[in-house]
Amino acid sequence: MILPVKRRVAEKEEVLITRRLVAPGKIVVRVGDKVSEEDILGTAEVSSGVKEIDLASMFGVSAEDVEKGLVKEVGQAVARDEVLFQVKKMLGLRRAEYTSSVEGTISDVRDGVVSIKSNPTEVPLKAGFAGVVEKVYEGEAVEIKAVATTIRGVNGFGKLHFGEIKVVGRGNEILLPQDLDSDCSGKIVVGGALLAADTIEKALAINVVGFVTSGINFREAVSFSTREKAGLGLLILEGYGLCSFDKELLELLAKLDGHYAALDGEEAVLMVATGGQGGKSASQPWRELKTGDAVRVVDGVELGKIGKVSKIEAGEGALPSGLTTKLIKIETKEGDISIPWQNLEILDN
Amino acid sequence: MASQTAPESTLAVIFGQAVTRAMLWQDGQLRSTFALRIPGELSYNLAAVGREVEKSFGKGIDPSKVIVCGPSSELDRLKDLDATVVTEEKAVAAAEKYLTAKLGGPTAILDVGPSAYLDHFPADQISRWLPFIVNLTDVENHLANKRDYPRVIPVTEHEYELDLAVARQAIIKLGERQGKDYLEVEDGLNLVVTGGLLSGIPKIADLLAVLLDSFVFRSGARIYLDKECRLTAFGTLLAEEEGVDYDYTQHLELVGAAVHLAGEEGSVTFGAHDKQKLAIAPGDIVHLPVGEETVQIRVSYRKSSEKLELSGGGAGIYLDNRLRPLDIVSGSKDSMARVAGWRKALETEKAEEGNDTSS
Repeated sequence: MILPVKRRVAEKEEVLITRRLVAPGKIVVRVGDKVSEEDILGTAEVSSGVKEIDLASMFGVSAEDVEKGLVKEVGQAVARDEVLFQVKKMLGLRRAEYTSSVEGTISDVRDGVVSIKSNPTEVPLKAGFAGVVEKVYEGEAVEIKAVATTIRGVNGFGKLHFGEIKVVGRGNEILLPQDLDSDCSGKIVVGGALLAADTIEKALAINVVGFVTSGINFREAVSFSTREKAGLGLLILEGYGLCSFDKELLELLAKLDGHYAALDGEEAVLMVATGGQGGKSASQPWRELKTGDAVRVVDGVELGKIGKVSKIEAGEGALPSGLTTKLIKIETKEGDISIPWQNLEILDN
Repeated sequence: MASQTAPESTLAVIFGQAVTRAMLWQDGQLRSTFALRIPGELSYNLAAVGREVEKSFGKGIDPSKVIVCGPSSELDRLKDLDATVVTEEKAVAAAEKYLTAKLGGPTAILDVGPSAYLDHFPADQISRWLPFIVNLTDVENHLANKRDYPRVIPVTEHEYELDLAVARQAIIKLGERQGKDYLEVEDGLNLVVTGGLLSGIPKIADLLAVLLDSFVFRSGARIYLDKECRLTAFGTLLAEEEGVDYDYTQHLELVGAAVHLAGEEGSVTFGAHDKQKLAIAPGDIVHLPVGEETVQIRVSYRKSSEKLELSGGGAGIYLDNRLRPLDIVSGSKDSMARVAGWRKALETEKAEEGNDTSS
C-alpha cells in the first residue's frame, strides 16, 4: 500500500522569505549581505495624500477673503501646527486663525478651499528573519535565505503575512473572542480546535495578522478570501470542522511563542524564524506503508488523529458504512483505532 | 521501450482524481493495478503506480506501447511523457463503442468518481437526500474535507449517505447542463455505472436508489455495474488498441432494468406468458421479479396507457411511479420519511445482495 508522505514539521529548514516594502521606496541592502532580525532592509515612502480644508465654510467668509487671509502661497511648505490662515471678525475686534494639522505643501487654493499635499512618511522594513540577502527587487522587495521551523497544514487562505507567534486558548476547545486581547494585535494567533466566526470579527477589530488553527468551519474559512484585503491570513492544520490540536504540535508552537513568523496561506505553511544552520527539506512524496510508521487520519470522525501503525491487517474488514477494505490498526494516545488505509497519510517528521 | 525479443504489450495509465490506475495487455491477458493519487506533480503518481505495477506484474515489464489518460486540465503536462496521450472523453467513447457492440444496444457509461466532489453543491441540496437530520455546517465541512482528500472512503453510515447524496446531485447536474431538471435516458439504453463509491457500493438497493432518484428512464434502461472500476482504464487501452480481444463484460453485473412511469394511479400487467396484474399508486416504486426473458408490460392509467418491452436479465424490473421533481426538502421530517420509504421499496431480495468491494 503506497501512501502519500507529508512532512508536517521541519526544524531548521532553509527557506526563502520575500520581504516587501509597503509602498515603493528604497532598498538599502545588497545581494550577499548578512542580515539580522532587527536590520532595516529598506524604507518605503508612503504618501498620506492631499488634505482639503474648506476655510470659506469653516470661517463663514468669501473665497476672496480666504485668498487674502492665507499666510502662505501655493507651492510653499507648511509645518504641523503652523498658522495657515488669519481673518478679522466682529468689525475687526476679534481675530480668528487656522493652524495646519498636517505637514506638507500647499498644492491648490480654489473656491475658498485650500489643498495641502502631505509630506511622505517613511516606513522602514525590518528583516524579521536572520539570513543572507538572496535577491533584491530594487525599490520593492528583498528575498532572504533564512532558517526556519516550518509547519505545514492542509489548507490556507491569504498571501504572505508576517507577525510574532502568539499562542492562545486551548487546543481542544473552540477559540472564542475572549481568548483574544490587545496583545494579539499585529500577531499571528495560534490555537483552538475550531475558529469561531465571532473570533474572526474581533481579530479584524484588533488587527490580528493571521490565524493558525486546527479546525474551522468551511463557511468561515471561505470568508478569509474576502477578508484577505483586511490583512488576515489563515493556516488550517487538520481540516474543516472541530478538530483538536495535536498536543505535540501545540507544545512546539508554544515554545515558538514570541518568535517572528511568516504565514503563507496559499502554500499552507507557517515559517517561524529560528536562525542557525539549516538545510533544504527533502521528503519523498510517497512510500509503502509499514508497521511503526507515524500516520495521520485525513478525514471522517477521527480526522486529525495521529498515531503509530501497530498492525496492517492481512485481510479486509467491514466498515459501519458497509464497505470492505484493508484496515490499519493505529496506536494513538487516546487508544487504538482501525482506519481504512485510503484515509491515512504517512507523517515524516 | 521494448527490446526486440520482448513480447508485444501495451500499458494504459489513467490519472484519476483519487487513484492512478494501470492496465497491462500482454499475451492475451489483461492485468491491472492502482495507487492512490499523490498530491502534486503527475510524475509522483506515475512513479507510485509504477511501483505497484512492478509489485503486481514483476519487474521485467517493458511495454512496447504506453498510453496515458487524464483530465483535460492536465493534458498539457501529460504531453511531456514519452507516451500516447488520450483524453478522458476519447477513452470513455472507446469503451462505450466496445460495450455497444458487446451488449447489443446503445450503451452509455456513467462515471461518478471523486471528481464529483470538485463541484460546490449547496449543503441543503445534499441534505435533502438524507434519511436523518444533519447540521448543514457539518455537510459543508464534509464536502470541503472530501475536496482536499478525494480518495478517502466513507467509514460511518452518515458519511456513506452523504457520499451517495453527492452522487445524486452530480448526476442531476448533468441534466441541468442540458437545461433539464433531470437527465432523461433514451429508449432501450444500457447504462453502465463505474467510478468511485458507486462501483464499490455495498448494497445494490442503494445504487438503484441513486439512479432512480437522479435520472428519468422514460422507456426503460438496463443497468450494469462495473464492480472492479476498471472500465475507463480499459477504454484508455481500447482508444489506441482496437484489436484488444478481451471480454470485459464478464466484469459487469446486470443489476436490473428501470423505467419511470407517469406518476398517476393505474395498473400494471406484465409477464411473458402468464400475465400478472398489480395496482400502482402515485409515488410507488415497484419491483417486478421477472426472469431472463424479455417481458411485455402494459401500464394502464385512467385516460391513457403505455406498452413497454423490457428485460431485467434475471435481476428484475423496477417501476418508478414518482412524480418529478421529487417532493423533498432539506430538514423536513416528511421528506426524511419519504426518502427512507423509497429506499425500503428498493430493498428487494436481489438488491439486498452484498457487493464485493474488495477491488
